[in-house]
Amino acid sequence: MNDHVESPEQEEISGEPSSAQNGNFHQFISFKVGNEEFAIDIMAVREIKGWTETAPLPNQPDYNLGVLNLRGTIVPTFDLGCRFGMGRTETTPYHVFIIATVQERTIGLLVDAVSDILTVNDDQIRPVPDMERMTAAEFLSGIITVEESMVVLLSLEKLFHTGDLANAAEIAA
Amino acid sequence: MSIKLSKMNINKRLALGFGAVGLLLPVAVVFSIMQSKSIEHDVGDIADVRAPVTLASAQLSEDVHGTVAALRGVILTPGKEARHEHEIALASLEHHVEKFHKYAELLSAKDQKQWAELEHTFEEFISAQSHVTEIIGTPEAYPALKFLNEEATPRSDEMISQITAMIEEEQKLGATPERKALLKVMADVRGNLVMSVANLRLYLNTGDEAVKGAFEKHWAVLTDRYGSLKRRAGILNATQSAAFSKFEQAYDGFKSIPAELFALREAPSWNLAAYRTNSEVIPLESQILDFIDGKVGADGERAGGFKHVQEETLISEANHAYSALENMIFLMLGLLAAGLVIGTGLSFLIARGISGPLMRLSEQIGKIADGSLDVTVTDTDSGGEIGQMANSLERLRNELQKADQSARENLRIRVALDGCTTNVMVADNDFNIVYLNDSVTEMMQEAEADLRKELSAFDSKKLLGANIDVFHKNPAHQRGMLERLSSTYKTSITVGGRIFDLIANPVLDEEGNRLGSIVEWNDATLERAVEDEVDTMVNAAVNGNFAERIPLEGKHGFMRNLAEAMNRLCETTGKALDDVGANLGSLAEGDLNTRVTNSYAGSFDDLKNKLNDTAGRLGEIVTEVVVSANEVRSASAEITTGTNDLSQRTEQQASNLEETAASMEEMASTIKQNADNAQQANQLAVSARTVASDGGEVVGKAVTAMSEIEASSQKISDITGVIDEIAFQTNLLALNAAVEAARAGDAGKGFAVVASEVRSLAQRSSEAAKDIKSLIVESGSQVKDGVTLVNDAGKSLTEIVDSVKRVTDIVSEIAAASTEQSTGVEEINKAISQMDEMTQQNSALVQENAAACRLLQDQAGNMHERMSFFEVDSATSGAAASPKPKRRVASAAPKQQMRKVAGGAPVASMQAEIHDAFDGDDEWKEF
Repeated sequence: MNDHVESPEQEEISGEPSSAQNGNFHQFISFKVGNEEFAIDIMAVREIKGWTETAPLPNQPDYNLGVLNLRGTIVPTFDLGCRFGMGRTETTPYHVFIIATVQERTIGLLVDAVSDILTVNDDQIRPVPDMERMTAAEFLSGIITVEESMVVLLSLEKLFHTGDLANAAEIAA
Repeated sequence: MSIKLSKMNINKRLALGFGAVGLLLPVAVVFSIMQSKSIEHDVGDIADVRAPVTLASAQLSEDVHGTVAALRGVILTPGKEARHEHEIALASLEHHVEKFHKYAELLSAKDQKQWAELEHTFEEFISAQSHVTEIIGTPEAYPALKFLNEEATPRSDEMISQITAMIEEEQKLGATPERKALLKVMADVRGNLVMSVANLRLYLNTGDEAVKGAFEKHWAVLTDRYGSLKRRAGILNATQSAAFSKFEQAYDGFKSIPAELFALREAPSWNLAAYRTNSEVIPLESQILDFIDGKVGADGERAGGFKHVQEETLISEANHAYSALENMIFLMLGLLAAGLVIGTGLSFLIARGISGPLMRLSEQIGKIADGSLDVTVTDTDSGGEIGQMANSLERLRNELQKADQSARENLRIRVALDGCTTNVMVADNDFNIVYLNDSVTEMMQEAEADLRKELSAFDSKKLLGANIDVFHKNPAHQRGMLERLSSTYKTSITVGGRIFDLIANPVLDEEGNRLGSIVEWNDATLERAVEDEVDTMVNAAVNGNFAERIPLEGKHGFMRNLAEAMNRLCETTGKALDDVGANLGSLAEGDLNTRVTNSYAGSFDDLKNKLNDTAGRLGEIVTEVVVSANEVRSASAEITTGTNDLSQRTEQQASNLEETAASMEEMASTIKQNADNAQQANQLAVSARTVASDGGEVVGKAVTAMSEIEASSQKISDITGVIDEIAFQTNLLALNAAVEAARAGDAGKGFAVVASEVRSLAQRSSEAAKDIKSLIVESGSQVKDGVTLVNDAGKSLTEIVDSVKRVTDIVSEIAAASTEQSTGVEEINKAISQMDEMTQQNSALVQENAAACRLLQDQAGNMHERMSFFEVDSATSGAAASPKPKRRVASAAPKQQMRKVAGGAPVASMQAEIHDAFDGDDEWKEF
């Protein structure tokens, strides 16, 4: 387990925009957490699933919602809103789990709604501007402009500590 | 006593004396029998109960002492003889207890109860003694010795035999200094041990402290030697060691025993028999003796126990019997003395009561015999034979006194009759003349000549002693009449032209026996002649003829005076009656001014004055009547004027009533219209209420329909929810499809397009569902508004219904009020018509009044005219005189009779008639 933590960069970073087969276009899935719109690479997504009851685990951070049974696979789930410091999400049947693969680990992300599938050019992806506290923005990998609005591109690897992932892997195992 | 005694007769007095003495005898006998019974009872009690019980209880007390003494003897000398003695004592006690048991029922209830308890104590007492005798002479009696024998002796014997064995063994060994010392120790052990045991035994027997000290001294030496023997145990050979170990064992067992033995010996129960005697038998003994002999007092003697009580009772009963006996003797002596005193006293009293009165009476009888009738007879109020004798003597004295008195009276009457002017003659039962007084003798001499005309044998000088038949031609008749005479008989006889009035009376003694007859004579010849003349004159006066007079010639004395007086009476009466007659004649002719002027006295003066008063009063009355007639005439004129006014007012009232009736008619029709209108309003209100109620029902239905719409909207809302969910799931599926397509790369592009289309479809359907939902929500709120409005409308309708109901009620009340009003108006109408009728009757009455007034006036005139018939002195009647009416109107009045007036204007017509009636007489108006 510790191995994973010590070598976080050894794999392809799925949060990074993966080049499409035609080179210039990338596809992202955009979703809403609170009023904000975020996006992740579509290739990291395994499945999108309506909200189901999760089994909570003891002694976990607030944003860890526990595990859910995805056709026999135990998947650890995280509350993105909580992770972003917006407090624990009040779930409804219309909330959505995005099942994604991060560093070969499968995790579930609780979001308010899936908005769209974005197909963007490379030049549409802007780097994250320098900010005083980089730590706050370290899990942002870029900003996509779509028409007038902006969508923040998330880096799932950075978003979840290696510990979280390790825990997730352990749980999954 | 002496007063009562004096009223008794002699028999009773004697009986009383002997009876009093005789009565004392049964009293004495009865009392002595009663006393004997009481004494017998006391003596019986003493013999049957007190003495045996006292003896038995003394015996019991003695037996108790005896058993305890015998028991002590057994303890001291526990031999067979002592035991036997004790058994005899016990048997004696039991025997006496049984014996006493028989007497128990003679005791008082309290004593019986105590005795029952005591019997139980006796049983305990006997059984306790048996327990004691059982242990006497056994080891049980001395626990210390028993313990010594059972515990100490075997151990001490063992120790002695073992140490002896050791010493014997030692003797077989070779002597060394060590061995010698050992032998000495052993010998000391044995010696001290034997001494200790001996002293111990001695102490247990004697209890001597010195012996105990000796034991302790030997025991200390033994303990010391035993210690040194133990230290030298190393040099003992095997046999000695074995014996020593046994010795040690016995020693260990023994060493605590002496202390225990001492404790047992020093305890109070070391001699158990004596101990039990003291602790069990003695308390029971004293308990029994407490009852029988009483508790021990301060002087150490038992007193107040059952035995003593019985003894005291015995003494007191014996004393009681003695005192009863003494009482009896004293009483007998007392009765004897009383009998002697009473007998002597009574005989003295009786003797004195009989002889005293007899002496007095004989003295008084002597005095009466001597003719002294004033003697007072004593002892008349005493009873018996003496009282009777005294009473008879008194009666005799009274009779003698009466006889004396009547003789004197007779003499007095005879002398009085001699001087009497009345002619009295007395005859005896044979009608012989026994007495003639002086005046009858004189009268007979005077009439002798006339009497001899008829009775030739008559001689006035020979009358005394002759028979009364000399006066009679027919003596038998006279005799029969006189014989039957029972009361005063008056008669007249005419003999020889002379008339005699006779009054005969029978003479009777006190018993009613005929003694003879008394005859009063009166010569009435002259009186009869004058009587006839007066009679003739009075008859004439009775017939109104006062002119008759009695002739005076040939009359003198009383008769002449009488004739003159009668003549004067007739003259005066005749003159007065003539005056009164003349005066009344003038009155009859209307002349009220004539008066009687002659003067009279007495009743005639009264008659004259009253006649004059009558004439004067009549004159005054006539004058007053004339004045009154004038006043009546003027009053009736005033009444006529009043009647006129009344007639006018009655007419006015009648016309007013007519107007009122018309107004009431109008009012009645208005009220009826009101009632009809109210009825119509009521019907309208009822129909309005029905319509409003229908409206309420419609509103209810609308509310129901709205609710149904609301329910449908809810269902639609549910359905759109389902659609929305389906859209959501479709969207998710499309997204997954898009993800798969992206993963598939170029191969998935087509699929991605489809997925995108599906997503857009899902989104549209979701939006459509949302639109529908918002529409449904909107329509739901509108439906709610609608329901509220409809409910408001329903409430308004209910209020309208209520209002209409109230309106209906009010209108009904108005209708009812109108009906009442119309009834009221009808009643008013009735009242008015009644008033009308009254008015008619009033006017008729007024008419009658008018007629009556006319009549009154006529009558007043009439009366005045009639009063003018009297001539009254002008001085008294002139002022009241008034002018006479010039014309008589009485004839006009009947024609003006009141007529029954009916129809429209009765008052007016009546008025006219009255007017006519009064108008026709102008003079009246003037008057």
